[in-house]
Amino acid sequence: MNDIDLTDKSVAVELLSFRAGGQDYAIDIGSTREIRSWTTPSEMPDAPADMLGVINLRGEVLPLLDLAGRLGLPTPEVNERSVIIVAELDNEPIGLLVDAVSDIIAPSEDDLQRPSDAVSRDEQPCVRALTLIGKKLVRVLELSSLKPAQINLIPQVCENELQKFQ
Amino acid sequence: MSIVMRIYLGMGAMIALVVIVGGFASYQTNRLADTFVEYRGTAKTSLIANELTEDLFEARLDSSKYRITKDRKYIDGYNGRDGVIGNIEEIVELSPELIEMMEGYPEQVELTNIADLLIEYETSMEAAYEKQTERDAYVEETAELGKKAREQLSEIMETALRDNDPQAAAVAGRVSSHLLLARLYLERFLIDNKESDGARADEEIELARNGMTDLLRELQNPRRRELAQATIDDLAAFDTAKEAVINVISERNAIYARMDEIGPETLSRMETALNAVVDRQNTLGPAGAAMAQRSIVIVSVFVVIGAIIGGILAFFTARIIASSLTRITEDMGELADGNLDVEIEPSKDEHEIGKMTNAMVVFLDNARKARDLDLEVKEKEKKERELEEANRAREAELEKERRAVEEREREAERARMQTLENFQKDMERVLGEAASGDFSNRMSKDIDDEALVGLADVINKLLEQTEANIDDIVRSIGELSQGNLGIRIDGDRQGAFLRMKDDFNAALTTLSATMAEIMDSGQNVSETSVHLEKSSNDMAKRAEDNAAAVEETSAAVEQITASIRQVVTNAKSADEATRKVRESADKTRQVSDETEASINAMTEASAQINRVVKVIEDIAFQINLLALNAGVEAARAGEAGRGFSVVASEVRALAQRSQEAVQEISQVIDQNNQSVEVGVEQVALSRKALEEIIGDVEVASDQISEIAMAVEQQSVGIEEVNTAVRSIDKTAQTNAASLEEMTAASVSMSKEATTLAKALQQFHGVSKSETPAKKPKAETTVAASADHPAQPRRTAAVAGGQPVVDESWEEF
Repeated sequence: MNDIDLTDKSVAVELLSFRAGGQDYAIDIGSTREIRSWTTPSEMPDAPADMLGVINLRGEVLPLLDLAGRLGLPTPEVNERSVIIVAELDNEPIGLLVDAVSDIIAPSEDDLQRPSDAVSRDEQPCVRALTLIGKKLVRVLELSSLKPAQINLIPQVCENELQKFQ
Repeated sequence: MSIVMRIYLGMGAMIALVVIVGGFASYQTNRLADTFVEYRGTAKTSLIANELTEDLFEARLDSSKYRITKDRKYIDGYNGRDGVIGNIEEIVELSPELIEMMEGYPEQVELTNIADLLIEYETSMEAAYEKQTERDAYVEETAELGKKAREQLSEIMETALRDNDPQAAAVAGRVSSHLLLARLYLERFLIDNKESDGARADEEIELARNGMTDLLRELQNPRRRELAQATIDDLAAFDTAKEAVINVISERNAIYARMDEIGPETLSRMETALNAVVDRQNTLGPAGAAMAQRSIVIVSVFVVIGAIIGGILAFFTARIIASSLTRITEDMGELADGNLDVEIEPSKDEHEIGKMTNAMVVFLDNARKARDLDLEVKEKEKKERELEEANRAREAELEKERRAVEEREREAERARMQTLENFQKDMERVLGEAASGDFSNRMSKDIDDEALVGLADVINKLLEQTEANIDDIVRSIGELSQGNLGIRIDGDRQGAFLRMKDDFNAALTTLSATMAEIMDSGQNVSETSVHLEKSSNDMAKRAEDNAAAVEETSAAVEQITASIRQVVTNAKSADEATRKVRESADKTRQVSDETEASINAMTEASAQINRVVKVIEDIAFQINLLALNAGVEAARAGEAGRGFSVVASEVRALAQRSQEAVQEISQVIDQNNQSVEVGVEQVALSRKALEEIIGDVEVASDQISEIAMAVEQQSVGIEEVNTAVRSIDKTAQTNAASLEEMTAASVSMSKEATTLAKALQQFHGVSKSETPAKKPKAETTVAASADHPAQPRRTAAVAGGQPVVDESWEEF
């Protein structure tokens, strides 16, 4: 995930932008395996609230995470146009439920701004960078911050961070 | 020249002209007839010539057919048709007739030897047939010989080959081929009769024969030598037969050539003759027509000339006759009227009228002499008549004197008679006047005769007595006529005059009493009638008032009826209007139903479109996802996937565009659906409003119908009232009329009563009974005397009695 060299201003990075919880986010396209439409997950017992269950992807069972819920945003109603992004988190596939996938964008390094350290309390913030696509502000997510161990902390942090930023 | 002569001359000239014209016409007709006969002759000739030409044609045609088919039937005739011979025979038979008919034509020469030519044609035909037969025989022979030679050669060839003698076989084969060629060329010659083919056949036979001679020299085998020898003989015979065939054919062809010469020549001769005949015919027709035309023109010219000459002659002759006759007729008219002073010129003309004029001159002279004689006789008669007149006048004077004497005697007698007559007349006058009531006249005493004077005195006395008595009576009656009923006749009377006085007085007494009674009852009548008049007048007035009131009522009722009728009509039209409103409302409702149905259909369609759009949207969504996946894959592939990522982004853009478009569609449909829903609501609203309107209209319609019904019922009631009022009106008017009549009757009665009272007023001296004590003053005495007959006296009581009577009558 850290293979994007933010210091190299000439290289463009390719990002997959999407909407989750009414906000625009993006993740590195390299950590994306595929995108698929909504499929009802099989619920698992004793799972966290934002873990919707598991889905079957061509014989491979992977967990489905409610991204908005994980980010502490209001969970939108799931419909047939909801999309699941299959991403790789520590070489493990994980399904992220998002509202919709927007585009594949390739901003140059100049276009990416690191959020101020002041907005983040954590040493590993969930938003790695910010970029403007047209008038839209797209938050580039740090996927590793979604790890279950940090789940409890992230929402608060991210929320505060974003409010300050906006 | 006399007129008769002139007429004869004119007529003679006309007849001569007619004879000339007739003769000319006859001559021309004869010529025309000749031309016609000749024309007919040429027609017949041309017919025969045509027939012969046709026969000739047939003959030639048959001969040609024979040449082609070689069938004998074309020569002898077939299927009922003449063959060559039959046709030729016919021509030969008919040609002398034709030649005879062609007498006079220069072309006759052409036909003279036609029969000989045709006979030659016939003979040639026969000869050609014989040559043909001959030719056929030779051809048969050549065919047999040829066939035999070929068979022998074939055997030579076969045996030579078998015996290993190829040299002989080859020579035999060459000979055989030559023989074959010779036969072939001979066949060809038979078909087209070409000299070259005949020569080639000769050549081949020659070669074959030479070949055979060589072969015979080479051959050793006795059998083959024998065969070769036979073949050599056969070939020679073949050659001979072939020569014969060629000769025969050339002979036959020569005959044919001759026939071909004769045929056209004959035909051309026939045609020359035929053309000559036809030419003649063609000239004869127009010549005849021209001749007829010429005759018509000449005859017409003659007729016109004749008519002109005849007209001129007739005109001059008529003019001479007319002028002479007119003159002579005038002179004769004068003579007939008795005018002998007319002068007639003696005519110098020699014709009949000139002679007639001269005769008239003689006649005139004789008439003049007769007239002179007549005049002398008349003079003599006049003198005799004058003498006789003088004698008659003398006689009349004598008679007059005698009559005067007689008259004087009669006058004396008449005077005497006059006196007597006068007296008589006087007496008649006086007595006549007396008889008619005038007694005042008296007889005159101025008479010469004494006796007559005495008689007059007696008569006068009688008259005086009578006059006095009658005067009394007259005066009394005069008083009575004035209404004085109290008058009486007094004085002494005698005899009839006394009886008269008594009777008169008694009658007056009775009359006076009766009159008094009448006066009483008249007064009663008068009073009653006045009452009656008054009351009937009142009644009439009331009745009139009544009638007027009833009439007013009737008018008012009529008005009400009329207004009710109007109301009924209005109600009916209102009913009709509401019905129409209801109908149109129904229609509108139907329309709105339909609108709703179509809107529903539209909504349904929108829903379907929506479903489709949804599907498209799904597809677009899926494509988008796929494109994104592709993009992801490409990105993961790194540099290798660069191109692919472009494609993926294109696909994604496409998917997004279609998604947008579909969303637009979806929006449009949503908008549409919204407006449709609005429309549906509005339709429902309008429908509701319409139903309310219909309900209101129905209520209004029902009410109007009820009103109309009620009004109609009322109208019936009012009509009844109207009828009743009218009948009352009628009765009232009848009543008024009767009352008027009654009033009129009472008025007239009252008037009559008044008249009666007035009439009775004229009478005075009325008393109820003959009691002199009661009404002494009313009495009037007439003192009659013979001395004062003309002076009646009236007592003063007459004026006093009158008021009593008047008082009682004044109430009228």
